[in-house]
Amino acid sequence: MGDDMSAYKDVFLSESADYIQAITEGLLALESDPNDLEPVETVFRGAHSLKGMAAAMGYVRTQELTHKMESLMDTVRSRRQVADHTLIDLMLRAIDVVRDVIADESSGGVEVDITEMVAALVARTEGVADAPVPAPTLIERTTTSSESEDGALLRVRITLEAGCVLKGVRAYMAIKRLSHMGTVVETVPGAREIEDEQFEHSFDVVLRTKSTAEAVHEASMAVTEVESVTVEALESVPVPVVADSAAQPLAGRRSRSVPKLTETQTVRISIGHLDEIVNLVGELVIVRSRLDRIAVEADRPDLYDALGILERVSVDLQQEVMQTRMVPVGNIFNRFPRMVRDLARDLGKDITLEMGGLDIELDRTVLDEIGDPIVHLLRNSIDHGIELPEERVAAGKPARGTLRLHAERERDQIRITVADDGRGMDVERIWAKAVERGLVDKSARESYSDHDVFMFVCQPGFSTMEKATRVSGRGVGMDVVKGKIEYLGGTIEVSSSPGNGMSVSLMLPLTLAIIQALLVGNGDRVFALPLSAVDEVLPHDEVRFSTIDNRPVVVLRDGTAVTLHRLCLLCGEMPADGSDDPQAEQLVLMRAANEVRALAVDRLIGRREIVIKPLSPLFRGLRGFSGATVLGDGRVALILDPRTLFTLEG
Amino acid sequence: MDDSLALADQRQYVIFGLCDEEYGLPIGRVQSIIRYEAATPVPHAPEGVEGVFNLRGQVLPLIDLGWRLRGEAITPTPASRIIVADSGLGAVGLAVDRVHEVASLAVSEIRPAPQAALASEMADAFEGVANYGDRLIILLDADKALPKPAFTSTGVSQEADPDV
Repeated sequence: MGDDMSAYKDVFLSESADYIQAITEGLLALESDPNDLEPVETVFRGAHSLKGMAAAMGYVRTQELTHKMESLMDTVRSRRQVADHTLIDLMLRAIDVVRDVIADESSGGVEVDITEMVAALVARTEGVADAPVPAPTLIERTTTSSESEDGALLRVRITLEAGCVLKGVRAYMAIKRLSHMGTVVETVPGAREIEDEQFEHSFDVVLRTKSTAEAVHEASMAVTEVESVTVEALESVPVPVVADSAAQPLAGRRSRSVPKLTETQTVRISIGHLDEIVNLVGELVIVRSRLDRIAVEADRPDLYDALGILERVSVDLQQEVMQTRMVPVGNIFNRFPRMVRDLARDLGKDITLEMGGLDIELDRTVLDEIGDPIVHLLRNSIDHGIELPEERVAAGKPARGTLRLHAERERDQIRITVADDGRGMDVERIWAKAVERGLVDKSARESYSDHDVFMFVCQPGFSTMEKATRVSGRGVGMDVVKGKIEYLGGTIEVSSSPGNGMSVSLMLPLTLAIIQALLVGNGDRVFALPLSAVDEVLPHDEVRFSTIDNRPVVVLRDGTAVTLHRLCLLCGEMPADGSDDPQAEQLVLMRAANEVRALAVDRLIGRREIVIKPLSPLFRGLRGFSGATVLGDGRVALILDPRTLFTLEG
Repeated sequence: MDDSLALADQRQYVIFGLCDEEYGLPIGRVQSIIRYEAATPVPHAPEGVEGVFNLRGQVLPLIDLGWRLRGEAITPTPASRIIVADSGLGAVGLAVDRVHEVASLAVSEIRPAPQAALASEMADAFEGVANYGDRLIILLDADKALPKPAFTSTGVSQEADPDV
């Protein structure tokens, strides 16, 4: 019984957080366009749903407060008053109290007092109410799901083999596969009927996709126990009507999934379970590569075949599992509009926040860590970057400043950019400060790129001094941001020009758990190099070996010289064959912390997907290695950390 | 002696050997005992840490307990074992020359170790000594005998951040 209640409570807490977010977004949308009735509906229904859920849980204060919010929104909904700034403010403050009172009531507390907020809401509601308040009924709205989609509309008829036992499962797999290629508009029969196996042997899927009919055919045929597939283009485009359920506050964010399936087949799962599954899949991958080795040694063709299938299944499984951990960045970006609005108002600034790439997905563990760094960057821009409206006008800029937060995919990384059109930073002033602080020698200016100079703002303590002297007032906590991003295996890029604003990009790995790596050998030991840091493997006949200032360098095709490091020396060992000739070794060109270097290794083993295993806390502070992985033969290989590896050279 | 009373006052130890001495580790800390295997060396690791090894997909540090307790690295033989123990900071492997058995020792028979006989820096690691059959067993205080990350000896990495 107690367990039941606590399970309900978890569901309530997580769902109420969704509604609170939806209401907040609705209020902000309403503030930017008071005549748009759609966000009014969102807020009204969000409050209504919260009220019902709170009543079910017996949270009377939450119930009363959300009821009053609902009543106030009803006056806006029935156009008896306009949602001006004061009303939005009131509602935003009310939603803050809702958050507090839910936390209070769900932990059995009695501390949060709602009487003041209820009185304020009632006063605002009654200030206008003459007309009878209509009963708060839910209005079923309809929307089209074709708005944001493009591509051709295809009808895919899939026929399963007559002997197929798990028809529902096969059909689900086929639909799922198609949903990766576009948007599943509808299925005939409906998703529920298909799930319950209420069809003979064939069913239809209407798919909106940019893929070709051939590709769709091929993908469908690849599903086990599919007998035949026909694909026909639909000429007239029916406008599919999908009920926009009130129970889906985040509707529209993930439009690529099947509407009906997601409603019935979404589960909330603790991240701990997912981590465990990822670990197990990781072990499966390791066992698979071990079997591969055995098969090569035993030279058994039948074993090869079986392993081929195992490989395909485990690759699919791994992708699916990693996919379950991927979360759209919108999930953390969505709290920023409110923050930006509040902070800008406090500072008397007028700022538009433009967000892009909200549906870019990132591993949950990475996403959880980057919220704070992004808040730092946004605050910096609002506080120090974007000027007051009058200053902006005087400088010939629009009074309203623009802050951009954008996510995009770049190879196996994600780039998140925070950019503003504020006063920016002057590279020479930062250089002067760096010299003044004794961080660099004055004469060394030409060996630092502008980017290198901007990176000085990430030095601990540099920022506070900047702020105190108001040179540009930049860089609050930038050292903290840099530290966190590097901890995540990412890098940071800063660019700016005086008067034209500033841009900070965070480059982050898609995921922390599994990476592509280049395995290299040194003596009888194997190391893994993250592929994201490897630029290329250099053929010996395209480079020249030389020295600069007695340090070994490699001269590349285009004439640039990069420093040469030998892995054996970095690892504190003598070269394997006792020779001192890096020309006998393989060269890997690496990029780390904006510097390109050549790494000489005994031999290249190959490219592998590796599962990152953390090193014990005993090795805390160890430089040069970011973790370990288990190879196919069961041995452990250390993962080289490109950012700290080269500091090992003494 | 009353049997039940005797049981209540017993503690169980895994008895293992380093060179010609016998030691006991409280069994509550021991997760498993496996055959010795060479670890993958970790460059610039603290002294006494042989490296890392693979235990069913987990990567664990391997600590040479001979080096840590006696200042002499063990010489692997077919009798060598790795005791996988809970260090309070996750599991660690402890390389020892041999593992004998699990022994029950009466608390009343545990005597303080003679301080003069112990190397001073590890003196804390010993809880006491006890006679078991005709052998003298040195009992370890697991919290103090197992390494903590604080001990770094090769001078790597504790300086201020040189990154720019």
